[in-house]
Amino acid sequence: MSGRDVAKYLADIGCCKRCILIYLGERSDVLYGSLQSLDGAIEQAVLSLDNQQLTSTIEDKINSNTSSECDSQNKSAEEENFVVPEYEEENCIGSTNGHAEHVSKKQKLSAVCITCIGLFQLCNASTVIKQISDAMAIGNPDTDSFALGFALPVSLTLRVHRVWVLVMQAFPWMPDKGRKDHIGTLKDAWKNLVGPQLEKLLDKTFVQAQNVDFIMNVCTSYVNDTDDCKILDTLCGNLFHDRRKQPKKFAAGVYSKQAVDAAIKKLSDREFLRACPAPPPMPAELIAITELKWQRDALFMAGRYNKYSRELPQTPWIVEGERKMGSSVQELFCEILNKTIRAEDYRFSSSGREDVDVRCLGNGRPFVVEFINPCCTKLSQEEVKELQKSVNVSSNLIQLRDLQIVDKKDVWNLKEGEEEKTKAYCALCVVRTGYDPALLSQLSEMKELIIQQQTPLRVLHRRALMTRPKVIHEMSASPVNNFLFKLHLTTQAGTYIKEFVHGDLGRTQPNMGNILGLDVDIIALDVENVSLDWPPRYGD
Amino acid sequence: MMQFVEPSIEETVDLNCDYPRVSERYFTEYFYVPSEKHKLEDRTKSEVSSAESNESVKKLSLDSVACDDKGSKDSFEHTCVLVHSNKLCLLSISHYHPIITGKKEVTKISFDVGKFNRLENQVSGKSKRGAQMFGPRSAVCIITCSDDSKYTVLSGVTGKLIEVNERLIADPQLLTRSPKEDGYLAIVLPPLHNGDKAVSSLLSREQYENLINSVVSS
Repeated sequence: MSGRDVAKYLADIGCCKRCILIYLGERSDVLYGSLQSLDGAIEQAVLSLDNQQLTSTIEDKINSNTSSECDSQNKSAEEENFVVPEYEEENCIGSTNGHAEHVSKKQKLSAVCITCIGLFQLCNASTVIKQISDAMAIGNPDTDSFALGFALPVSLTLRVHRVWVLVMQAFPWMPDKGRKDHIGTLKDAWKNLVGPQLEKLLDKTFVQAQNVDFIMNVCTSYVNDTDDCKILDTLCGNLFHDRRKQPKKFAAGVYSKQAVDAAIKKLSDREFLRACPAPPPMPAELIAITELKWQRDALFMAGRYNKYSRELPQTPWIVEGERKMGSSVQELFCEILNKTIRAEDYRFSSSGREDVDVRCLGNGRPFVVEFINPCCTKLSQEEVKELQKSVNVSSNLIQLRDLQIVDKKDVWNLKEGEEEKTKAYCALCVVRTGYDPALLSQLSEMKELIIQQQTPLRVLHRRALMTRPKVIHEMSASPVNNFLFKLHLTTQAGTYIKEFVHGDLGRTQPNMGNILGLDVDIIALDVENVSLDWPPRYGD
Repeated sequence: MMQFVEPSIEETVDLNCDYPRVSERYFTEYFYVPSEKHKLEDRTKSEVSSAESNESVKKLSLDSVACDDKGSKDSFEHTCVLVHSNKLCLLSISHYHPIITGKKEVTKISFDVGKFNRLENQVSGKSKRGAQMFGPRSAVCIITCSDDSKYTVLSGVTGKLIEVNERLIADPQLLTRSPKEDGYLAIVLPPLHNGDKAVSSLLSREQYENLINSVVSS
């Protein structure tokens, strides 16, 4: 019994050289050496395995009469008749979805590795590398470095497990520590084989670190994935059978990664051997790349906006699938920003919101836009300023200020301030019957007035019914004429100003009407200030 | 940055003094005229069963008003349903209701209608769980006037009772002072997914006025 026997066994059942190395316990970067260097590496791995066996079983050896010298002589004799078949790497064909192409060129393949399903045969194929690098260049993302992400078909996990079961049965002395990190090692090896080749094509640095902001995801599949997994039906009977009865819940297939992993963990090697005593069959086709998509950390931009229109909602206003009003604050500037950022999608959020017919003046309302999978993230302060300018000349309905790129960790400031900060408003009020302007002076004497607001009728259909106490910190009013006056007020965030003025049919108490003893209504409303010190102000 | 001259607030809106009131801005008036089905059933059963379509229902309600026992003017115990643009319904009494036309003094409004006490209504969450359910003929409240006359107001719409106007308990005359605004009786939320079904069986202001006119002149 020696490492060479293991290597020979693995070669015989149809493993490729890199896979054999992983089984033998090799974990260094020889795994991603050239095809030519692999024979030597296997030789080394075999020797080191023998040495390990030697030290661990030294006592056995002393007791028995077999000398290690004799052993190694036997080995050199065997050396001649052990040949690992060649698994073409450079010329193999990989295709994302062109099954037809696959079939036509399949005959060319001499063999497909039974454990990695030809994964390592894909890694040096120039067509595959080109495919990945093309996908990475989509949108021309301005990243300097990249990591690789990798999704494997479930059957690969299962195949690796089956081979390990057989290896451990045939060679019980084999160290099985490599068993646990086999898939991880395989992925790392693949990334390290592919990464440097992409580096050359793309002029970007390949990194293996965990927290990289740009990841190229490679999804793979194997045509007979489901067939491979069918052995699990006999092994753990009910689980997958029951899942089949819920086709809706398991639309993506009953053999999910988690379920298969869990099933494998539960079963003993003995049970596995009983169900599948033979090595996994040679794959009908190479593993195929099914999806190539890069993902990147979101880019956050913050700023403040002014709204000068009374016919512009803050966000797209859609009622029962029907759009109301032409545009929105969000669309007016996010679309322009995104022409530069070129993100897949964006999410707008702000510190509170105003009604469609309310202007937002003063320093404006703080907002954040999260750009998802952005192509362009490296903007200088000047470029951001230019961007703001291009928004501001594009529309006279809105204006931006303080536009800047912010850190994700600072975004909480926006929502934190939403409820506790004060807001300043100006309301144009009407008394249809006319009023005595002298009445208005009493308002400036009322400080920290607490009002009880029932959920306004306006929003009651979609919000819970509640009575909320709100604080009117300060008020002052100035007459416009005998019927109209301007009411300036600062209030706790979340106060419904329109309802405070007209009383919402008595549902806000007290209200402007019963404070003045008049029938008061509101004609127009402006937000004059949102007191939130984030994002930082720019002196523009 | 381009500087804008922000117009002053009074320059941004039309300052005409006919500015519509809250009730006019947000609400559309509809009216519920009870079909008096039960009374009619005794008289002409066949007529009722054939009255399926909207048209015939309206004809029927006209009949019912006309041949009411109490005589025409005093029998307009109709519900006014103020439908908000968000479909929420505010319930009140019609401007032809005997309390209004008779300039009666309301002495008590009771939300205890026998089978239910509307004051016990509790709703929770966005979906207003736990609400009492209203059908068109559900009693909302009982109004007592100083002449000892009593009137039961029917909902007229189907939906969840959201709240009753508790301010009417302390100040019953709020109803007659401002029947279609602060004196509303209750708020009902019809099923939102049902389109305009809640309103379709009600009469519009125009239809209602026509109906009243035809009854009064006949």
